[in-house]
Amino acid sequence: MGSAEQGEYAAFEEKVRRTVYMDNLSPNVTESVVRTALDQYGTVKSVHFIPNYLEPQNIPQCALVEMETGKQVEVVISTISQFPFMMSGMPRPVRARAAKVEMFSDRPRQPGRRIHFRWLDPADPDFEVANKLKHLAKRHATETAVMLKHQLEKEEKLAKQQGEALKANYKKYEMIDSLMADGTARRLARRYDLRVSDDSGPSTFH
Amino acid sequence: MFYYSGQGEACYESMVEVDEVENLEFKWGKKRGLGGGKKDVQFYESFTYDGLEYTLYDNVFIRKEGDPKPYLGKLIEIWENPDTSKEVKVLWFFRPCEISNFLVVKLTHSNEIFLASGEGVGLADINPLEAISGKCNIVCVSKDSRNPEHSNEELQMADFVFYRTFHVGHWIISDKIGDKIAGIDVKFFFNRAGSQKPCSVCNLGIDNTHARENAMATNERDILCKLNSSDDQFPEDDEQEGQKPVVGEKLAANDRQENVFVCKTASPKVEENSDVNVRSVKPNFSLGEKPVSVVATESIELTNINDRQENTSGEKIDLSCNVKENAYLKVLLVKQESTSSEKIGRVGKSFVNQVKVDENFKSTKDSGEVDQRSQKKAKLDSTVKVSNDKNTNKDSGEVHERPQKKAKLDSTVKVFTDKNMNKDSGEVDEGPHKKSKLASAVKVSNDKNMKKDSGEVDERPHKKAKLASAAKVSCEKNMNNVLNPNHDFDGNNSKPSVLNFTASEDKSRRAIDPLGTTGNSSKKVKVDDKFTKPSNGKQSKECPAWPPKDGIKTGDKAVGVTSRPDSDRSKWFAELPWEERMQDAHEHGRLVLFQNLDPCCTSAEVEDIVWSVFKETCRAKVVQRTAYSSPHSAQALAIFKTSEVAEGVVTKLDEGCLLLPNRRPLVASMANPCFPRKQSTFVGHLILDKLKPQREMKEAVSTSHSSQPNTLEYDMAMEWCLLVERSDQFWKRLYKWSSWWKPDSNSVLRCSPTRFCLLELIEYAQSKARAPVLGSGGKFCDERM
Repeated sequence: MGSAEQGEYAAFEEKVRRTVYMDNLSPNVTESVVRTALDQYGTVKSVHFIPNYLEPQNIPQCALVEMETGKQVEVVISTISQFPFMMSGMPRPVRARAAKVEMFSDRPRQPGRRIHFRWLDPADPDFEVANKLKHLAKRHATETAVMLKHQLEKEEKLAKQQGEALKANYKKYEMIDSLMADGTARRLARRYDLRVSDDSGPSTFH
Repeated sequence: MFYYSGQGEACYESMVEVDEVENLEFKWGKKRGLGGGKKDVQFYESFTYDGLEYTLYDNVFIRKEGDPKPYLGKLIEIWENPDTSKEVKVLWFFRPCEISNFLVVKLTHSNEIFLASGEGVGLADINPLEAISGKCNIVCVSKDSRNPEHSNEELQMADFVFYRTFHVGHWIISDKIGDKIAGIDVKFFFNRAGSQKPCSVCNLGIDNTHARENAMATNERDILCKLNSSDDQFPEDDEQEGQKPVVGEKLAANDRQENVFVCKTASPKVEENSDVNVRSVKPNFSLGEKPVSVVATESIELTNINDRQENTSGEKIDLSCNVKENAYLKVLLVKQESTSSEKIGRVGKSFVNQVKVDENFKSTKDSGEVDQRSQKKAKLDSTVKVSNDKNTNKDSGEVHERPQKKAKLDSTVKVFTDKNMNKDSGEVDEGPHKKSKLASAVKVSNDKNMKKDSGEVDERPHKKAKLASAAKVSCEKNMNNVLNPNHDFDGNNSKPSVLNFTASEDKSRRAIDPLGTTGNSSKKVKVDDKFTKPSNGKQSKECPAWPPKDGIKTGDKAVGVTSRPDSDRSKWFAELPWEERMQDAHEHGRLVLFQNLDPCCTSAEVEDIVWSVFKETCRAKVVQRTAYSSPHSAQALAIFKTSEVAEGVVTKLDEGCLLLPNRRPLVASMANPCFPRKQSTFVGHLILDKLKPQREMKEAVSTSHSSQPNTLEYDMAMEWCLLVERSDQFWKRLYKWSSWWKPDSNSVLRCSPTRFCLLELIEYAQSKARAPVLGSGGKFCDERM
């Protein structure tokens, strides 16, 4: 019994080592997108999106991607953290980290772990302390929520800023394009006796 | 204090108090020796500066003007010059950035620092003591065999860690630590075995006065010894030193208490002193925080019990059975001693002082009346005296304290106590009193587990009622039920039982002992019963036990979680059924959110906990951790069978406190989950509408790829990376300080102000809508730490 439990747990730990935690994923990312994206670094064995029940809906998706070996995990993590990696959209990159045990909801229990509980009597001096701790726990949860909200706001702000920058850039490129297209640039060049080549880049941002 | 201005002495005293508090800025501690050329430099081992106590070899921050980051160092010498300037010699730690030119190795910890070693400039410096800006928690993570192991908690609490040294002469980093650095034995650089620094820092954080009390404990004990050996020596000394915490500390155990009282009876002068003590205790007492005051009441009750016991015995001493008494008293004393030490161990460190102070407060009062008692004692023979002395000391408490006590109690009690007193005069009543003594001794040692002992019947319900003032009427009812026979016994003076006790001491002893043991063994069951099935209205017949509150044995006394009988869990991990069920449960109010679980708690374990505690089955699923969630606690969603059960569980957890391992109270609330909807847009992904027709562009967008550094996309991605990195730091900082759990029973809660100040900053920043808060906010907090 004990050894079986231990074996199960060891297998699970091995699985954790083989897993990448990815977040900042667009909701459009599906299992097949992940598979194709990471195929170049190794074999994806399974993809599990972490459901989000308690936090605001607009936070990015997170996923646990199980690879074939721990080595592949390292490759994925190092590549993704070295170069911004785009998945189903730009320019916000995804992030990859090593998975942790607590990220799995279906983990087996740690072998040999015994939980004890007891009720505190209201007259116990620890009762006050415990009550404080309870409040603190609630407070921490609230704080986390505030923090998350704050982060989301920052993200939206950056996205908006970038959107505007992109639009402005695009406008600029478009203007240049149109100047090229309707011959204004050439005419001006002739006028000022400049050589102008026609290879100014298209208005993409990649 | 102005209220007391009419009473000259009291006023003066409190003034002194206040003065002392205001001058707390600096105080020398233990002296070491003289040094310097003319032997005019006084070295010290410790000092108090700005409310913090520093001792030799503490790690400190040294602030230098104009430098944003404080230096890190270890105090290796502390002295006062003839011109009263205070200086410290500090052995430096190097931050990686300070030796970046020589830093050829990779850092293994994010907060790694290096200990200075070797000989040369930069090893250690002399600084004015005032340059110290705070204590620094540095943990040595060296694998060196001489280094005591550090715990994970310590590591988490550590501001910095080190295991390598930087040779200031050769500029070499090494992980070998020599036998001596700057002439200081290496053991001072390793972690301290036994008394760990994080603890003391922790205590300081909670309440400075406590810490000071602790620090003074040793001194006080010395004084106590003096006090015991020679009476004339101690008065002034004691008065000075024993301003407030002292008194409590002095009397660490009951036997000490007794000693002191013996002294006091011996000389009236000493008695005066005890009055002083009492007075000086008072302010401290009022300082007590809420939890403390709870302890206080308890301990007062405790002493009350003692008083009562002793009373009766004192009266009996007038009778002829002194010898017998003695035997019992000894037993009693031993037990008391053991209980007091138990108590000390049990209650959190910071509480201890208070408890003791209060006890002392009480008992010094008692002893105030000792002279009266001594007349009675005079009748006794000398062998008996010593032990009886002790009794009578306390004994006197009854006469004078009882009225007060009684005032608190309601009238019925009075009747009982009066009757009791009446009985005291009769010889027949010896038995009951003995019994009561013993019983209460047992009781005391049972951790105030007083339910069955017949002795102190009259008082107990009320004590209980008082103590558990928040508590339920039903509890009291129960108690009355249990105690009814005893009431009879007391009230009617029923002879049979009395005779029974007088008949043979052995018998009575035996009769009591089982009570004690049953009390012990029934504790668990009772705690269990009472709380697990309140909804059934079937409360245990016995009055509720005092749950074990000793941190030491928490594991032993707590109830183990057992597996549920039906464990068909596996099917619950299929994603879809769970989600549907959850939705359904939510609609019907059957979904509960558990918070503050142990991070490594699994879904099955949550179900087991619910089963063991509430005898209810549920389906639970832990909320998976993400990069944003706290590493210190976990949440779980649980589906109960009915909404009544779910609500019951939430209420019970809200009203009571269910402690899980690591002193973690479980928090429950009705869950309000949101169910994932498909979203099409994603913050941060930009699409240019006009580009849509261009096919290549569309593909570029949808295909996963690493971006190349020469594109606009790359620049923008970098901005995102920066943001992500920033928020990452942010989360780290937020969670770093929320690790206030320490399995160590002595530490009470520690919540860092840093965390809250960080949040305030955010809120402030949000209200001001300033952009670059993240970074600067973190930094700001860093400096405050």
